[in-house]
Amino acid sequence: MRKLWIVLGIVGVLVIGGIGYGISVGNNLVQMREQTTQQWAQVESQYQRRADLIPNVVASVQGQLKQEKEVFTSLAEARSKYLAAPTPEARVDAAAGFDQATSKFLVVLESYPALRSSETIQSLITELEGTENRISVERKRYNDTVGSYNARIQSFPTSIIAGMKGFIIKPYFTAAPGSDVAPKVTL
Amino acid sequence: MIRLHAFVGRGLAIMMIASFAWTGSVSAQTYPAHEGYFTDQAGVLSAQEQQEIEDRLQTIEQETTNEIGVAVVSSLGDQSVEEYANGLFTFWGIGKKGKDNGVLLLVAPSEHKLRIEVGYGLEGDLTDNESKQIIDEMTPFLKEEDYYQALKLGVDRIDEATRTELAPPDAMPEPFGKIFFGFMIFMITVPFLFMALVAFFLIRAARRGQLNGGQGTGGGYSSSSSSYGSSSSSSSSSSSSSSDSSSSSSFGGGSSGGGGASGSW
Repeated sequence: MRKLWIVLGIVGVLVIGGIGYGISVGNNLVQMREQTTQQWAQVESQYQRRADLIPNVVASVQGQLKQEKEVFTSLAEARSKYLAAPTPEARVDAAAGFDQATSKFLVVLESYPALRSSETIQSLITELEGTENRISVERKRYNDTVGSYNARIQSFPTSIIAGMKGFIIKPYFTAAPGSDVAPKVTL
Repeated sequence: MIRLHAFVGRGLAIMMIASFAWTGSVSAQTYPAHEGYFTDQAGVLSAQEQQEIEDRLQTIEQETTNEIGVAVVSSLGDQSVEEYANGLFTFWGIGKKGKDNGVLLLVAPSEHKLRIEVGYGLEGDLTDNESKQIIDEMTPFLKEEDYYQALKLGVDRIDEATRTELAPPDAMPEPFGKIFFGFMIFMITVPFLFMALVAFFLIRAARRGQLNGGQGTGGGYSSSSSSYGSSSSSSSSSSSSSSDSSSSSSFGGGSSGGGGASGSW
């Protein structure tokens, strides 16, 4: 009789402990997943900032860079494609194209030092450079958050609870092929 | 019980190894430890000049709570000045946690690069363009290798920009602030006291029941609560240790999102 109580006690402890552990891990995972979502929102808000800023920069320099029509066209296309993207996945894809068009635009701007003599243009370019840097910072941070989240839901024993509750691996933000190489402009 | 602990322990060990392996692969760049608000790794300033800037930065922190970190580094490694500045900002945690009111002024003499990195909370006061202006004002001095004048000017201008729009530290009228603070503490502690009271009575009731009933349940109760506590505390400690790796700093743990501007000379 007494042995039965001890066994039942141990089983009870194991069950309560297991449930408690499961709950705390589950909550922790929810928190981590929220962090990745939040971080993604940070990335998107910087993309939005860029999309808002680009028309101003373009308008300010277009008059002086008539020969760079191609850059402006691809930039406008990339921007509207990003803004029109219906799903988050499509937005990620469009963002990669937007990245490339913007960095090419910045290189072009760089090659016209005379532009910087205008204070307005100079400040808009600084603004755009700042936005580009913010995008890369937030994107790197997103990848870091996703990295620790992915590692956590795949490592044992958290993986059991993650599997039961349907936590899935989140994708990294990868740069578009070729975007790590600075585009060259021929004048 | 032992088996559960071994199980949990092994899982945690694997997790920690995994997380260490991860952080190791990401932050290959090492950053210098800071020596206060001002850190001169390259040794371009005299001891007296260093002290002057350090004192100035401390005064600014006391008057405005803004934390301005100034770093002269000997090398940026293989990173761009933007990457390095953001990494160092995060590593030092410049600015108060939650307020993110920090600014990093980074100068790399060997690369002839400099950057002002602005914490999230000050982006409105010190815009990218203002940062750029400050940098443009600093570069003539840097060209003449007058680092002291350049840094002094940079700090003054950063302080100017961040001070104007900052609300004074005691924006809330003193008595009201104190009453409000006391009220908050009251509101926070009351539920805890209530819960503690309920727990006390529950435990006492359980003890009484155990006296009447048998010996088994009492032991089970306390050990189950301890096993829950240990598992939750170990998981929370593992998550917190991964988030603040720079807890040794005198900076407040603020962060920046890449705001600011860079320049070269």
